[in-house]
Amino acid sequence: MTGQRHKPFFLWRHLNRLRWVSLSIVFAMLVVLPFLHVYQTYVAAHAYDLLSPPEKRIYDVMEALTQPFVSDPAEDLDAVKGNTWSGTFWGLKLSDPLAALGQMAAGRTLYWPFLVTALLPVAFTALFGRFFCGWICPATFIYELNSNFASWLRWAGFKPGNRHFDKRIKYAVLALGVIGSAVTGSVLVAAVYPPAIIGREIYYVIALGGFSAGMVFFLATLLFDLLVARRGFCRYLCPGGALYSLLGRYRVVRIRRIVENCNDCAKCNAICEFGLDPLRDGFGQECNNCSACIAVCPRDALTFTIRPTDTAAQGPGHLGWQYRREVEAPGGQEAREEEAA
Amino acid sequence: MERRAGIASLVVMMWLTMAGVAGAHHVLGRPAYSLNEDSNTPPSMQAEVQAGDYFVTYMAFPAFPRPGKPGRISLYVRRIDDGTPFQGKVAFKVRNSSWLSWLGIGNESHKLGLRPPDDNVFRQGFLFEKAGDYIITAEFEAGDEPYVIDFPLRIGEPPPVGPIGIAVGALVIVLLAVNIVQRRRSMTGKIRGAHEGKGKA
Amino acid sequence: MERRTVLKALIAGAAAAALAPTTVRAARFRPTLRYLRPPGALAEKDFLARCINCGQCGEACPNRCIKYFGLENGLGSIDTPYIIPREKGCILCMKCGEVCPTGAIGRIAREAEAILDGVKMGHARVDESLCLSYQGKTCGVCYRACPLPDIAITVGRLEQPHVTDKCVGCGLCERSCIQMPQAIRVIPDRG
Repeated sequence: MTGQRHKPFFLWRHLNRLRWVSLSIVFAMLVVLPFLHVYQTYVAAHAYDLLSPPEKRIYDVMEALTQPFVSDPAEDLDAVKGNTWSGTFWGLKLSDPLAALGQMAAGRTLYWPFLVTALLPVAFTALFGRFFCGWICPATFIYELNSNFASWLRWAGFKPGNRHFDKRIKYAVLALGVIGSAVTGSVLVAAVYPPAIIGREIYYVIALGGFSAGMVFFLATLLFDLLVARRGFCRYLCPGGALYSLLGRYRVVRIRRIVENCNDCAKCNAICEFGLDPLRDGFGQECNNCSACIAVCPRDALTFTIRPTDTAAQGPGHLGWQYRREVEAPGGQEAREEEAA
Repeated sequence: MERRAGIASLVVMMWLTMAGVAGAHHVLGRPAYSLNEDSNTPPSMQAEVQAGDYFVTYMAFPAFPRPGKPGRISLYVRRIDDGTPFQGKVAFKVRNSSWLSWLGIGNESHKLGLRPPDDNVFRQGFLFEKAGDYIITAEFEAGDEPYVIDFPLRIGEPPPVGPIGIAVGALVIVLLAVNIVQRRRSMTGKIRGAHEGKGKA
Repeated sequence: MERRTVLKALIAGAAAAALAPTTVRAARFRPTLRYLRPPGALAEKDFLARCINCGQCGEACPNRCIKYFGLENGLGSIDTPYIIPREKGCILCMKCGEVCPTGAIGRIAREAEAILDGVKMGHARVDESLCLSYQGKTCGVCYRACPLPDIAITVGRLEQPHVTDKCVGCGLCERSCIQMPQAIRVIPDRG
């Protein structure tokens, strides 16, 4: 057991930053795509001379952005459409597994051309778990900024709530959403799923001018996260998070604690947005592989591993005082000899 | 916004290739002119309602009336069953539709006029000095039944951002500012916060 | 603009409900929506079951005629696409069906025959007591606006329009009508 030093994953320090790059790109896409659409309609209408000055600015900026890549913007820019809920990328259609599930429930039939669009995300979730929540979800982008805001409030003297609820509530929300969709015959889960809401609302505000009811719901979830429970919506209520958790239960790529390097400092537990327990090897199906704990660990004691199950609790970290007192002290000499050997 | 969106799509030329099939002056997918002042057709806002035995169409011209500029309401009332236009008189009233008026403040209505039909259409001019949201009420009596119909009318530019817009804008600014200015502190803040939370729980 | 009224409508509804017992006056009527679904959309019930509210049809529409419901048409159709023909008709480019991932809007080729077979958004109807041509003032604007002239709409004496059974209900005629209110309007066929 002891002796061998595990080399951490080679990018371990930068993965969390890479994740932020990914989140930012997705979010930026959701903002740029509606502008591109608006630009396309200007082009299709041959309307440049009729545009108002702000519209001309949109036209000019979008033209400058896309000119190197397309010859006929009105047609060629159709290659990328949609959002994380359902999108089209050069003919490849991808959809959120929750969209597939909700639609199946609402229609009570299997419509294969749509279901196959969710296959790739399902496969990736089976491999990487709830990675969507940590690496792609446009709502996560805002929720994490929001939880930084909460910690700033704490620093500034306010005391935002930090309550804990049962994480299984979200599975009930998922079940309710699916049943509700089946009963009403309309995909209701889309109305309470923040990434779907964000994708839509950004489009509404840019292309149609004005928010819809979904934005009110999203603001409410932000306030809930800020004032009641840190990342409360994702942890306890999100139906999509519940589905991803279930699909990613036996994910192959997961985070593991290297007990030999761990000094029990508990920074990983504190930084974990989902309130998990990396310190005691408690990752479970909720972990979204966001790698924030890897980045914060001062002893390089967390790493990615390829295993379909979590490591069983390994006890206190070998560099912590607890381990030294409990394990090393009784037969201190022996343990040190073993380590030397 | 709609107007701006509109100016855009003035001359949508789709499928020029279809022109050969379609003949001299038509193309499948001919441009749809937008709802704005530059349209070649009269820009007007429209609303419809089925009221009892009648189907009522309401239009306000121009579509985006401004304070101090005259405008016109056209109302068309037709029987649903046989399509005969209503030939009586229609009274037009107006009242405020601001937030306050929902609480019952300042929502008394003023008479605009009583109109006979002109080519089957009831036309009522208006001129508002103050921008704002109004409700036009059309009242008429047909077959001993009174009909009271409310239509919305907006005078002047709507406020560029609504209450939700302000909330979202403020939130985005606060989030970005805090996260950019306090980037380093957020990490330690989270850790300290989590420890505190654990102590309480 | 319309979306901003959502909150207000909610509050107005609540206020109306609160006032209802005290008002004994004649029933007040409020405007209703006459809307079309995008071309090739399934019958309303199937459409609602299929549509996942992804918004791609609107993003694909080069004419920006596709808008989305807030709460004004009930919770079941929240965030589903619709077209108000008087504001903006459909130009029958069929891009929305191409991009729709769930088949809620069917795929129809951009050809006159396919469109005539597959699209049934509604049917235009002329109100002869309003139409200028029927009042002796030669007009013919709707005929010129029609993407399927002589198939969906024909004109007779004084350019009086006659809509045939082939009309697909795109709404371009209604958009173009110069009479106020419009003398030709599309009666939606949402199945």
